[in-house]
Amino acid sequence: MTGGASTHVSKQAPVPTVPWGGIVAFLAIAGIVGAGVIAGLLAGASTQGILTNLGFYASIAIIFAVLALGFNLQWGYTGLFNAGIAGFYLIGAYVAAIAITAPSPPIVVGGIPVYPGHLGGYSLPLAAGIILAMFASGATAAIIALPALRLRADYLAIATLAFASILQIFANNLQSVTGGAIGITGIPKPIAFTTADAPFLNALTIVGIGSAILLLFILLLQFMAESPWGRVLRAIREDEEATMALGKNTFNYKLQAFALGGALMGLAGALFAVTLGYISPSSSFAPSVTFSVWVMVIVGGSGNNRGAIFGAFLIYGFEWLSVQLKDYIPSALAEGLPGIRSLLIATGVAAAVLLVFVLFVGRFIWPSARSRILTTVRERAWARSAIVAAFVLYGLGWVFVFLQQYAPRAIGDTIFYLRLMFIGVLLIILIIYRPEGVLREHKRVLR
Amino acid sequence: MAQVSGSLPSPTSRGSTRWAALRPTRQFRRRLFQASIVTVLFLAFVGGLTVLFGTIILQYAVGGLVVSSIVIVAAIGLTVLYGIRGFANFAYGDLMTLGAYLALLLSLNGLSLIWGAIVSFLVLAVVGVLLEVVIFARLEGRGPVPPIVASVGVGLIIQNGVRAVAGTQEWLYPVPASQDIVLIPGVGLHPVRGFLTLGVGLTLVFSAHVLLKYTNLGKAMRATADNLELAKATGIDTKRVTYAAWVVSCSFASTAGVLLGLGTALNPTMGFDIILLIFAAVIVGGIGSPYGAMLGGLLVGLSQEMSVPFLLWLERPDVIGLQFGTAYKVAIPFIILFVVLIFRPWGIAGRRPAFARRSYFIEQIARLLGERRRSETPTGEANGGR
Amino acid sequence: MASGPILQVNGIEKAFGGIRAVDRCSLAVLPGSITGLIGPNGAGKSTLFNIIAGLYRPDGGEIWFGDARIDGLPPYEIVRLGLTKTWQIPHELRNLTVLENLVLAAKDNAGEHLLNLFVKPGEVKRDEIRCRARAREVLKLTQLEGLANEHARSLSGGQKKLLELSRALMSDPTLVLLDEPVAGVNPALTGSLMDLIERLRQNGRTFFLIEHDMNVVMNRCDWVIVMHQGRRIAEGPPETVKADPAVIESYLGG
Repeated sequence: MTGGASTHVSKQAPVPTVPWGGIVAFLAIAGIVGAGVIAGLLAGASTQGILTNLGFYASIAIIFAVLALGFNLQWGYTGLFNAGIAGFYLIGAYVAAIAITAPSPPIVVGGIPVYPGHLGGYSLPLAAGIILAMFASGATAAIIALPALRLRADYLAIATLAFASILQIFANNLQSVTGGAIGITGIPKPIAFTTADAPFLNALTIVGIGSAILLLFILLLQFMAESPWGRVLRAIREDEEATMALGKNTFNYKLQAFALGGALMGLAGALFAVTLGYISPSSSFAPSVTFSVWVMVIVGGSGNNRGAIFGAFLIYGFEWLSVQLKDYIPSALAEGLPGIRSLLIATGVAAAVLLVFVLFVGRFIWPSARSRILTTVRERAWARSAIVAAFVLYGLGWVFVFLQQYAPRAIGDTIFYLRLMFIGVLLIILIIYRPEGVLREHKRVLR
Repeated sequence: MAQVSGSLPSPTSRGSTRWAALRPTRQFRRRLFQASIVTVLFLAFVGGLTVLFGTIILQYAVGGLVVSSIVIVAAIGLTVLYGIRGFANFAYGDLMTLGAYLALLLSLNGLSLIWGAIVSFLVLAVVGVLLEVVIFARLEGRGPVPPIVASVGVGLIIQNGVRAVAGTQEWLYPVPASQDIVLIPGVGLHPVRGFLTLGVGLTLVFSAHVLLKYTNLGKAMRATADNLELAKATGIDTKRVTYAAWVVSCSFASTAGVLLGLGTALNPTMGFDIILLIFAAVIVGGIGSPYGAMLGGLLVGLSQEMSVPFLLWLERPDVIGLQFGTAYKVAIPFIILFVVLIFRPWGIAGRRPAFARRSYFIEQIARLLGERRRSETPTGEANGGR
Repeated sequence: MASGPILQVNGIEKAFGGIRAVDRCSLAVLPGSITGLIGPNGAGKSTLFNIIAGLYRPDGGEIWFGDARIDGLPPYEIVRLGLTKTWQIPHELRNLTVLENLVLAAKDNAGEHLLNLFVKPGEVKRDEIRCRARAREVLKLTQLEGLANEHARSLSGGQKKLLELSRALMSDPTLVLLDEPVAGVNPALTGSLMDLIERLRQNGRTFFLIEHDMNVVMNRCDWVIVMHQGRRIAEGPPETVKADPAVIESYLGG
């Protein structure tokens, strides 16, 4: 054949050789850990205390990482948008708790039922609890999938969200099974330490077990996702009709991906039950958990398992850090108020001078640099966003100063909510400008 | 919604042409007939239950109507946006919360609640346009998922902004306490939570109806919801229609939020807690159809409230001894939602899309039965057939 | 080869809303032929192809592929029986490479079934090697092998059409439905493509193609079927059909 079928490929941006994504990822997490350590030191905690705290961060981050891996399998690889992550998480946690906890009958004090008791008392070993949890979540996911996977993406989201809400209602009200609003307490740790070092040793074991499980499942998922089976999943994500026309029974694949993702979420729930030692149908299983996992996978990069784990550590890191700093920041602000105020004024003056320079004076002194700055701002979205972000941060600084003077207690709580608002803003910015996430999905080169 | 109607009667056989346009079309008459049958059946159902169990049933039915009116107002706002912009707005509940809190803020600073509600109505309209310009216009053509994610982000911002400013404790609207007005012995309706809610609900429903049916903007909105490409092709300014959709959607959200706050207390998650109920009403009624939203809202509200006596019956130890049975009443509309999604995802007032495959279960059954067909020998020739 | 038609369509109906896209259409395609399907826009040709391939469900009628009745079957089973279809607007899998696009189209790749990954790793590996080798062969046929590891989204329009054809050939089909295979492709490439199809036909495959390019239809097809308003209005060798007054009127009047 002559003509058209040359090996010319239409021009596209060259793949960068410096892995900026990876570097940013590493620095961000190192920053979070570092800040947490500093906060602990400033609060006067012992080395063991700081390590225990870090251990807590790692354990919960691992749990979110497993959730993110499960969601990544469903959405990042197969394109199934699951808004009911919290539901499968809940099933795993409760099944594991019921399986491994000792019997706890209702507690009645003076004729008033204080604790309704819960189903269980089987005191099975941890491994059995985990396996049962994964099986229960996976099976539920498969059952839900039968009618739900035929639905288009937004219907699936609504249906799964409704499913998770119903589960929360059941957990809250089916008292004799789930312990009602109080939940299940006294979930045994894997090894019962009794010394004074117990919290530290417990944290160590949990992190150890969690990391081992995470590593195992990362390897397993990479193997499955990069196999021909995983390739079909990605094809379904790209164009389900075309994949059907290629001879694949897409429904089976979607069912498998959804069920396996659900099983992973159940695993996360089981780990959660063991880490915390108690579970209750409260905020731990609220839709905000689902939304947080979305952020983690979107930040990290869909279709990318490393990205999901990075996203989990990063986003949960913000939450953990904000709790660490919650008490520290208001007092620090109180002490440093005059200093902070002068800093803000100085920054404001400097920024104003810079602006005047760039806009008016620079033309005469340094024209090339000025025009380069202006064109960058005009053309690059990130430059404009950076400027907007800088203004917002500056404004926030003044808000904090103002609040500290008139309502000092509000700051601690406000930081908490600001973090959540920040996640909302992050979600919006990412989905508009960089939906593929920080760590890009790699091209699969076949030999 | 806008199906091809039956042909108009010819002038010679039915009188002068001047009145022909006002004569109800065949489709309208059919719909009216269906609606009357359903209403009669429902009244008979309620009447029967009342005879069996007493006037308490009517109390639940009236309560259901009150819940329905809040849901209907919210659902109309949601469905208009869903039909025209094409995505599920997960921030809708938080917009309702915002509307309620704005009215609270104003009423705490001297305005009466009525004015607070009106100002909140207008402010949220502006918020809606801002959301479209800043966020959602950039997500056009990216599929159903990105706008959902963005709306979740917006919801997070609003919900936590409300928490940061107003705190997590519950607030109450400054409304004087009053007694239920007795309609018939055993059935009472609160003047504010009941009558006012029903009244405002009906007024808004009527205004929506007038807007959509009798104004040019309303017709443009209906056309765009029906078929976006066709609307653009026939010269409708879809940008203006989109802004109008956001305005209607968010202002209805604010009123629904205020009504909700009147009925219960205000807390930062008040809107988000019922968003699934609103989605259920919208989907059951048919996305994009305000009349469907009304039907869906009625169905959802009534089924939720009228399931309470049934759940109370389940609580009895001789039945299954279900603990806290009435807490499950919110699950009833979800069950209806699931059934609709399985068997008729386009809702009551929606149209079956061209490429809909039959529901999974029906298809499986048809497959099992159809196994027999394939062993037959070919019939017919190339030029024959049916 | 079977003695009867390889594809038989009997009285197929399909309506969308109030519009009858296919209106009790019946036709037959003989094995080993290159049969053309022509007709004015909106005649229902692409819809009919989608129905035959199992992507739409007909409202009525039957379709027979050899001895098997295929209407109502899901697409993956029809592909398994040996019938593939290309898309009029290329449906390439954008974020997958060209090679991945093709390997996916292969039949019987053990690694695509989850359990096999764990219980039959040897077979998985063998099948994957076999499918990749076959993919490279097909890419050589359509002269795309230099683009094997490029993302499908970076291909030009003509290259995407070639990708469509390559995918259709991967599963070793008996009958290939081609929906406007050379639309928007330059004449030199059109010639080579049709030469390829002719060579493949001589190896025993049947091709049924929709085309608007009358040169291709007249010079390359053994038999031409004409559709108008959802039904067949004429058929025969190209010259006969060209002169048929009903056909001419359908294109002019519509």
